[in-house]
Amino acid sequence: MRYLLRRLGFYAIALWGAVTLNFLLPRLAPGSPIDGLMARLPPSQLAANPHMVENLRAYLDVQQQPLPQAYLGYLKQLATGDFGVSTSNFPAPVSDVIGRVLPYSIFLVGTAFLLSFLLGTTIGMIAAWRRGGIVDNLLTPTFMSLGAFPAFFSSLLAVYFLGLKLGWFPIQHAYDLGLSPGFDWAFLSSAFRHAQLPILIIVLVYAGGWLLGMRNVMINTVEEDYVGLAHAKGLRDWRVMTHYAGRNAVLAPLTGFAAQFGSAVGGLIFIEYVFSYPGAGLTLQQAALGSDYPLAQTLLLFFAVCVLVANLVMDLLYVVLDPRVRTG
Amino acid sequence: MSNIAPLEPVGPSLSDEPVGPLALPSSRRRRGFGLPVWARLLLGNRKSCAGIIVFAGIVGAAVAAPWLAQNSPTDLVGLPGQPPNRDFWFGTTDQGYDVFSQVVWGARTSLTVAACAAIASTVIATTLGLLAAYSGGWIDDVINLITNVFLVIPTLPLLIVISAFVPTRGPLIMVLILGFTTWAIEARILRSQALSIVKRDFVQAAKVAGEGTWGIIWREIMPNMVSRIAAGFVFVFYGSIIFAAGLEFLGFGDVNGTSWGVILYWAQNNSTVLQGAWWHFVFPGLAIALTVAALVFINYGVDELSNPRLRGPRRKRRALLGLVSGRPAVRAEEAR
Repeated sequence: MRYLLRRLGFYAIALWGAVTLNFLLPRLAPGSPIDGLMARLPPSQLAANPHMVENLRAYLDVQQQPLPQAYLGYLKQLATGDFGVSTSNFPAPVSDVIGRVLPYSIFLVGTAFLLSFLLGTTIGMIAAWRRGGIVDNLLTPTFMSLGAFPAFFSSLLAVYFLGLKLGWFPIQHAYDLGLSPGFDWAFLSSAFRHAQLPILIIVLVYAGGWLLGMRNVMINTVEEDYVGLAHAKGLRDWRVMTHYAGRNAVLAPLTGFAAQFGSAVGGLIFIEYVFSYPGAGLTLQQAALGSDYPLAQTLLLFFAVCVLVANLVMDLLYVVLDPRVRTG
Repeated sequence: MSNIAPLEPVGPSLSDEPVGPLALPSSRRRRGFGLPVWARLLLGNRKSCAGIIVFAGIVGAAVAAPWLAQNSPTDLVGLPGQPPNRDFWFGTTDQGYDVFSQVVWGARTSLTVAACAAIASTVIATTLGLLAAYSGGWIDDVINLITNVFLVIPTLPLLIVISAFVPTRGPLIMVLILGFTTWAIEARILRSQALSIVKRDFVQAAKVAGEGTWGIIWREIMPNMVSRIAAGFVFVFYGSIIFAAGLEFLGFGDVNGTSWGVILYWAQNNSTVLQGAWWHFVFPGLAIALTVAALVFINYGVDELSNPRLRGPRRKRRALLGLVSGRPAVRAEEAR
């Protein structure tokens, strides 16, 4: 319990830090963002969104107040869930836009991340157990090189070869054109089909990290005395591997969960961009390119909160997996 | 100033383990055939040697760009959309630019930006990490807090949002943004490594001798961590290549410049992938992938040097054998 409280305290401070950084970003940037925006915006976009500039000015003017005052105002806004109005989706509030795109990303990254963790740690465990065996010699280098490929290049390759040339997967958007999102069979099956290739890419790209982390720790674990003892007791090989060596080895890679998750969020942006998949990552890219500051900043904050929550979940899981933490 | 002579760096040892008593006379430093010890170790390791050769080839191509690629990367030199052929080895873009020229010239920008960003990031990480470890107290707490915040915020979204606020786009801005966002992991690692050094006698001696905080950090502690800092530099360089190319790919670079990420941006933006022009994205993508793979291999070699357990065949059998035959398992360790 003490352990969890301490972690919670840390997360609260980290959250406060992220919020503060988010607040400071527009002020740290050289020059006024609105001037840069005016210089960059094509006239057609201005004509199409007459309210955009006033709206942005209002959003940024709030930030021209004296620092402490503006900071308090910002915190108050966040506390009441008021994230401002998205200028590129005027007049939709930011929270509506995020609510619309979020389910896609959660589905995509949640499924893919879980699968890559399971796949990576399992292969890593076997690779370390049978060091120099077929799995180790074949799958370890394969996944390592897949993981070394930048996510955007893997997605482009997959779109071209698996989607365009072989035609195995749909290559654009989250569902077939003409369908509208809802809980009916036509939409869900279409959405599922469209998610297959992106999920496959995330799994292949991120399994390598888990594999290597697991393998490197497991190599040390298999030499521990208790593993030798388990063998001596006459336990079956796979049981020693999973329950004795594996269970202890998996703790270390799990601590890298947050970092992995953070980088998966980055990978998500590339993959959604390549597939024109309407999730939070693509929305962030579009918002930042279109100078929709309220939306972009809120999404950044949101991603940070996701990583924090992932950390918290991992801490809870850690308590379940490692009895030593409970007493310590 | 200190009247104690600065200690000879024991840096060349690539081991992550404590580097032993540091009061060794400097003559104990081994010297090879003009190459420093770490270079010989890295070249002696098969993986890192392969990585170094590939990386040297890429750098060589970038340096030799004017001779290798006669066509200007920014001139329309051929019919648009040609697949690779004798005149245009990597084909032409949908506009008629020479992809080969773009990739070779782009290497200059991409490598320079990544190298400068990695230097900036490493300097920030080293300064903050060592300062935190040496100072302790509230300075340590504050630096720790900032580091944790940067670790929690996912890097790419942060990079994107900062890019949105920055009024101009270009290589210099890219270097600054990357340096500002990618230092946290290294700072954390260097801090924990430095903690074991700050308690050593020679640091205390320098302190007693009246050397200032920065003097101790840069002249006493830093030289003992050179190998660790260099390994971190390779890691950040790898990240910077990917992040810079990724940002450019997403449209946050100078879209009129020539770099690997910008080529990919135009390939995606003009949908040449969906039109089947594979050469437009495969070659710049391969250049990026080859570069990061070379860096991964170099780092892999560094890892193996610092953690002998990752080397060699499985020793479980041997350890068990030792157990059975009555010899302590430690033997297997020594036999290495």
